[in-house]
Amino acid sequence: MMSTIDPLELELRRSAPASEPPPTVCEAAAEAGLLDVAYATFDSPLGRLLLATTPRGLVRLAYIDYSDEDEVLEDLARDVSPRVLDAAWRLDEPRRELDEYFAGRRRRFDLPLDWRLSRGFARRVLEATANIPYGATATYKQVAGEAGSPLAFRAAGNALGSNPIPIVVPCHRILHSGGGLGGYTGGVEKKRLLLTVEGYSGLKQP
Amino acid sequence: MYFAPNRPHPPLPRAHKRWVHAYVAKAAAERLVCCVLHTRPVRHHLTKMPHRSVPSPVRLPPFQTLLDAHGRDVHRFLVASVGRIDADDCYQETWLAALRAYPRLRDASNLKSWIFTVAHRKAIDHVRARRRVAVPVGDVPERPAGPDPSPPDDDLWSQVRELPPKQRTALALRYVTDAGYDEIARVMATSEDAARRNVHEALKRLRTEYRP
Repeated sequence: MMSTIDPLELELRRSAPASEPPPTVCEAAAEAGLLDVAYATFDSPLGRLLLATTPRGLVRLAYIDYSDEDEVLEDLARDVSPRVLDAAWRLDEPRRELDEYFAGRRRRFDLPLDWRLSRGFARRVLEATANIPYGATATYKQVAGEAGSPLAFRAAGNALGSNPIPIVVPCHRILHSGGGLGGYTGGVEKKRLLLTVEGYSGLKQP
Repeated sequence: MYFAPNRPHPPLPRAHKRWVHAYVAKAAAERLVCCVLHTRPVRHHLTKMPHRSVPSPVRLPPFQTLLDAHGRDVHRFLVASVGRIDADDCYQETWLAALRAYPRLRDASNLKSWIFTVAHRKAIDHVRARRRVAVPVGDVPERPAGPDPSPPDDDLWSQVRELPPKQRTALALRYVTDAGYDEIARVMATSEDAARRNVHEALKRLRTEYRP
């Protein structure tokens, strides 16, 4: 009875259903209102981007050649909702607008934004930043003033450094008072490129 | 509001339970005072009520990682448990149910067994529902005429589908997903001995009924 190879067990293993691609879940999840965070990744002139949206609007944009994709998703799971699903079709609109922007055909984004990842002073700084028009720039001091604390330009720098939605909230338009480029999460080269796309001519040569 | 009538609530920590009871008692007392004195009820306490959708205290990974890691195995498990025709529906229901409950999950240490537990329950529901609406239309259910003619040895697994649900799940976990008895026990919330017994009984039964 205690044979090591049982023909029946062997047959069960052999005729077990083969692995095949299962049906997708995310459409049904969206229909049932269970898709809290939809994300997609795609290539852009600035490298690979990750976009994430909630039912309220765009919540996160990340350079994933700079910050790790898994880490970004884990942070979203912790800070927004663990119901995070890969659903590229939910991000067609932001993606199209970004493509147009990189091609120089779009001067402002008409996307609903979900601000919940920034709060307090950082949020006020970012909201002030969102009002800077295409092709224009401001200084860290100016946005700090707009946010209500003109002396807090360093804090404003930190707030911009942790901008959850770069490009769309144009933190690249904030420069040093002396005209220097300042910093950029994801690399200063990206900031230079974004300003070049927008036709800003006041850049100092490195 | 707090207790959904037809869904078992996950066990709450003791302190939490006590707090809920204290809250309910306090709210009742306050309502009584309001009735007697004809004052307006104090609404702001309601906002402090522990709600069913309190976020889970454990760190949950993004749901997509679960789907990527176990999607295929769950699908194979369901094909074995309910048959190819119903597997897709059952699969969707499984993941939707999991997604619904996910933010409230209080133990993220074994998400794999958890998702198979959900699949196991959905398979049982599905078979029950099917029996209820089954209309006698001859003896054999029609196979889909798709590009996937099921192999003749599928007979064995259709025999498995006739087994009682516990035995069926135990067998599917063991021979489709290569689960050990400890894993089977976790999925079905039984002891390891019971899991072993389920597999053993199922094999015994198949041996008497199945002749290749």
